[in-house]
Formats: sequence, C-alpha cells, structure tokens
Amino acid sequence: MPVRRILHVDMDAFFASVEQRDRPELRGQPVAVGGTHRGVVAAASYEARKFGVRSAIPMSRALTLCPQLRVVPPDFARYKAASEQVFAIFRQVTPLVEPLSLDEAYLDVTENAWNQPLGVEVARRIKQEIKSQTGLTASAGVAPNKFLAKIASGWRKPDGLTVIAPERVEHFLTQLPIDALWGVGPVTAKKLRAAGLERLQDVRTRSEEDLTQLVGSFGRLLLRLAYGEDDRPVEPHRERKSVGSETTYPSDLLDKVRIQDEVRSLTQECCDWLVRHGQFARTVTLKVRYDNFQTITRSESGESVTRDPVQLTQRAIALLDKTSAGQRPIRLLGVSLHGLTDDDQPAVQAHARSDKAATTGPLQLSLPFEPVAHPPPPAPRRRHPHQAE
Amino acid sequence: MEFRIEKAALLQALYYAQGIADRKSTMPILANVLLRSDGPDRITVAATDLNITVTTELPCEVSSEGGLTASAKHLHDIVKSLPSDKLSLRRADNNYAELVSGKANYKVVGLPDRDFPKLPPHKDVQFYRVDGAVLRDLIAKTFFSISADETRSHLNGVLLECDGDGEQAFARMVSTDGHRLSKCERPLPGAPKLMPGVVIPRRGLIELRRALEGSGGNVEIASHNQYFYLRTGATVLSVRLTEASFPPYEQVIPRDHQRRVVVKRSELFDALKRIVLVASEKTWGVRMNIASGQMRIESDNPDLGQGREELDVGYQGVDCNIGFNAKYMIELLSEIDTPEVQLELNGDLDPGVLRPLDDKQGVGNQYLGVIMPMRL
Repeated sequence: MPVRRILHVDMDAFFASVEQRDRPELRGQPVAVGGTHRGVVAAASYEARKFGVRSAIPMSRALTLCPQLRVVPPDFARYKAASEQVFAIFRQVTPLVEPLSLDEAYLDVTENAWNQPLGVEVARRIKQEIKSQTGLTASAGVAPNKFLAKIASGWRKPDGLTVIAPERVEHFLTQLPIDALWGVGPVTAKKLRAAGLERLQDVRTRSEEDLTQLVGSFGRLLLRLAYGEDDRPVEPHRERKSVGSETTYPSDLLDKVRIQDEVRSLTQECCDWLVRHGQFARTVTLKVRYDNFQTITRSESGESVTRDPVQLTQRAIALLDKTSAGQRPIRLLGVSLHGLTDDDQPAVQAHARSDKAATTGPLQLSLPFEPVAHPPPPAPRRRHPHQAE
Repeated sequence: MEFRIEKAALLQALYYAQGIADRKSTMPILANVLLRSDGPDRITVAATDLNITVTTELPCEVSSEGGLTASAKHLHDIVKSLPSDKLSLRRADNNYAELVSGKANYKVVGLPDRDFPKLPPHKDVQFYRVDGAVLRDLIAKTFFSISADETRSHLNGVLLECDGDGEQAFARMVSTDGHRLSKCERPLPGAPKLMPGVVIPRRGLIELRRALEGSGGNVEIASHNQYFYLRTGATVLSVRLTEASFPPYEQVIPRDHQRRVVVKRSELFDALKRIVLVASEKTWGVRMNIASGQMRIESDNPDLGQGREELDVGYQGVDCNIGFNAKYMIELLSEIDTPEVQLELNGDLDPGVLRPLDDKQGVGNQYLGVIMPMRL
C-alpha cells in the first residue's frame, strides 16, 4: 500500500466554543455546557479546563473546582448547524470523510480536490476555511494512518497542527505512554501497567497470545499499533452499530410508574432515530445506575428486527423486572438499541440488493451546489456517545 | 384566576391552540393551552410546541388575575359542546381549570402556568401590513421542493427574502431539495426589508399557510430575533427560524441556455400525468426527445410496460435526449398558470429551467424551477 495521508480533525472545545462565538459575554470566561443540576459536563471551554473542569465530570464537581463557571444548557440544533458547515468543508476536499462525532472526523487526503500533495498544507487550509466560515478553531493531526493522526491532533490543542511524517513515526512512538491509544481506557491501561507495560513500545516485547490473554481480542490490534501499523481505511459510510439515549435525573427515581414512563420516552427517542434513518433494531439494552453509582445493564434480543415503538418499549419495560427498579433509588436510566440493520428481511433483501447493483438504473443528478453539503449523521437528543462494539 | 367570556371567541382561540399544542412531547405542559389574564378586560390564550407558538388576545371580564394551563384538546372539546353562549373559567385548587356555563360544570386537570415555556416576545416588534394572498401564493409555489431529508436542516425550509422599498417592495421564496429548486418573486408592497433572508422551516410554513387561508386579505408580518411573526386579527403565529444558512441558490440557476422549448402548459402537464402511470415508482424517470417542432416523452418500465406521448412544441435546433423525474415537472407545472411554458436546456446532464411564458416576468415578479436531469 502506498503511503497514505490521513487527517484527524478535532474541533476545539466544540460546544463551548460555539456558545462563546454566539454569546460574546461568554468569551474569555470559563464555560461549561451541560445540565445545571446533577448533569455532567458535555464540553468545557479552555478557560474552564485551567480549573480542571473536563468533559464527563459531574457538573456539581465542576462547580466546586471553578465556582465562577458559566454553565450553559446545551443547544444541539446550533451545534449541529456548525457541525454541518464543518463537514461540508471536509467533503469539499475529499469524499473520504469518516465522522466520529459532531466535532471530529478522519479524512483521507492522499488524493484531494485541491491537488495538494502535502497533507500538512491540506490541513492548514481546512483549518483556515473552518476559521473563516464558522469562526471556530480546530486541531488537526496529519499522519500516514488513522491511529497516529488521532494522537497527533491531540498533541497540541487548541488550534494545533501536528504532523507525523512517515520517517518520524518510529521516533514518535517511543514517546507514547500506553494510554495515549484510542481504545485504551483506565481499565485496560491498569491491566497493561500491571503486566509491566508502561509505554506503547513495551508492547512489542510480548507475543500476540500473551496480549490476547491480557486484554482479549484487542491484543492483536494493540500489537500492530505498537509497530505504528494501522491499515484501517477511512470509511465514509461506516455503519452505526447502536443508538442510545440516557438521562441523569434531577432527583432519584423510586416510583415504578414514573420509571416506566421515563423508559418509554427514552425508547421513543431511539425509535424516532430508527425511523429517521431507515433502520431496524434487534436488541434492546436497558442501563440503570443506582444512587450509589452502581451501574448495571440488561439486554434482550428479538428473533427478528423491528422499529415498532410499542414492541420495543414493551421489551425495554420488561427488562426493568430484571433490575431493582422501584426498590432502590435510580439516578440514571438509559435505553439503547443494537443489532441495527436497514432491512427488515435480511435474507431476501440481500439478494435483491445484489440484483440492483448488477443493473445500473437511472440516476437522479444533484444540483451543482458548492460545496455539496452532506452533514454527518445527527445524534438523537440526550445522546450518550456509544462506542461501536 | 377567574374570567367570564363569550364562548365563540374562546372556542376560536382554543381551536388554533389545539392545532399547535404538542401532545406527543416528552414535556407534558406542551399539550396544554395557557390562559393568562392581561389586565382587567383581556386574556391571552397561547399554545406552543417550542418551535411554533400561537397566541390570541381576547376581550373578557377578568374578576381575578392570574393564569392556568390545561389540555388544549380537552378544553377545546368541552367548550365546543357547552350549552350557553357565555362561560366562566377559573383556576381551582391543585391547578384544576373549572368551567361553568349555565348548569354545566367541568373540572379539567391542569399544570401551573409558571411552568409554561416563555412566549416569543412580539409586543415590541414592528409589524408590517402586507397582502396575505401573495404570501400564500409564494408558499404554494415553493413548498413542494423543500427537502424531506431531516438530516439536512438547512434545506428543510423555504428561504424568504424581501427587497425594494415601499410600493416597490417584493418578496422572494426559494426552496431546494438538492435535486431541484423553485424560486418565486412577487411584488409585496409594504414588506419589511429582509436581506439577507430567513429560513422558515417546513412545519412553520404549514401553520403559516393554514393561518393565511383563514385570514382573507391583509395580514401583518415581522421578522425579529430568530422568529417570524404573522398577525391576523388578534392572533399571532410565531415560527422559530432555522438557524442554518440557506445555500447560495443563485449559483445553481443557469444564466443562459442553448436550447429553448416553448410548449402548451396543459398539454405537457396532461402528457406527463399519463406517462407517469407507467414510470418506475422508484425514480419516476421519463425520457424526453426534443426535435424541431416536436417533443416525444417516453417511459419504459420492465415491470409494467411502456408509454409514449408526442407534443407539438416551439423549438428549432439539433435533436436532444434528456431524462427527467416526471413528478418534479408535474409539481412545478401544477403551480404555473400561464397557457404556455418555456423549458430551457443546455447539455443532457446540465440543469434545466422550466418557467411560465409571461411578458411580465422580471426582477420582483418571476417564477422558475430548476430541475436536474436523470442519467438514463
């Protein structure tokens, strides 16, 4: 495979930056986007980060760390609009854009619309375009593959641009601690450290079997990454594997009827997403966090796929019986749907699809707008960023 | 809170309210109508789904000030069937709304009015009196080409721009779904300047259209702080505008053309409506062959059969073959009311323009549709 030029572009403190852009009184202030009471921080401005305020920490903790924090309720419609503008810029450069979320994407710019041979120049121009069209800043990483590009973009933030040229990869790898890797969270990192693996390079000293015993199927990829190898392509149409919605409640829930209502509305949100995206789901998962933060999940898979809200809601509510709902106070409820597919009769449809591919039917052309705007898949409200399994 | 009011007036306001109130929302109060006193002799009746809000001010006798909310649908249905022409409504304990009319007495479950979402402020907004029929016409002529793809919020509405001053003012609406675009300009004396324009979402247009249909002639409009307002009598409809910006539409309207075909509107319309019966239900694609003096439209659907139509047209030049989605043409033609239309073409993969053949077309008064062809 010839050397690729992969970009990872990550908007800086995205939600918070959009708020600061639209509300001048917030500029230069520590800002956190999220629910005011018992919610978690969805995004923190760089001013807030100086105080230790980070995404995903409870808002109450954020306010203790930084009492003058300006807490802003999220307005996803505006973030989505900004995200659409950013993705339109990406798609102007290359169709090979893989969205990771509203504010983050991989781009394969080995070939690009600007005929620019240097990845760093493409990145610089994209950053400029984003700045001039949206007033927001992004950090970019340029590398020969996805995993290095992602690490590079996080190297200098905000408004950073880091390049890992192919000949510098080896040098770069020597600096990396084990948990710099995407996919290595606190739990995996702890396991690896316990086995004496501090730096990514240390992984090379172990065999694939050893690593698999340690961290499961991730071991194989881990070993490849330790050598800086990653040939995963940038996938513009990577299928989403799950959709979910969850909420932390202002006060703990104990009333069974109320809990059922909440599960119903969470399931409805997921079903709305299915309908909007022409998808069906096989598995329903219910997540419950009790008042002592103990979190459990209960799942159930159907024989066939569906997007019928009545059926899915019934199944989600039935899962409540496998929890202590009604007996123990509940702090958080979440519903997610897995096993997504875009056809409700997989076998038949697969056949029909191959037929369709064989004959090229008439094709409706699109108006020549510049750029062709195709926003990233939208997230349902109160979305929890599920990781694809 | 307590007031006494004419049944007919309240019923009309509740009718508007229950059309907007959102029964499917996860916020239960959105299914409710808000009734709030506005001094000793007026109340405001309001409902919202957070994007669209309707408020009506009604004269009445307020005996105690305050507010209440109750299910818009139920209150409407009960008031509608009450026996006498007058009724009193009051807020009872536990937020119940209590209705008394003649010997009928009803209590409807309610929620505190302080929990009702804040209403878009229109009291200090300057309204402009314009002809509602023109707005209705603009909506009808652009509504059908709004994108149905909800992931493209910037295309899920119509761009409204107003330009020119006083008597010379005109309004322009543009919509596109990425495959076709409709643009309509009409004189609208008295319109406020709206440059750059605003994007009114599809749902809002449906409600505006409904309100305009009931209004007859003159209405008042305003655009202020992310809202578009329409006042008809005592009722104000507020529509939250789409925040995303509309694409630069001028760049996809061809400036000139190599081929110009003039054809009778009704002949083309009828021929397309027939031939679409044998077109593919997935693509609605039909083939057009245009030669000097003649247009042939063909459809060939392996599942169903074939069809062919021939029309006399005004065209001189080289033959050309081009494919179009027949539905796109039909929807556009059904909004054109001139006896003849003009189809402007370049290459067989370039956008085509269909417009009424009309001497009066010009800036401030024109209608056109841009349609991308199909590759057959």
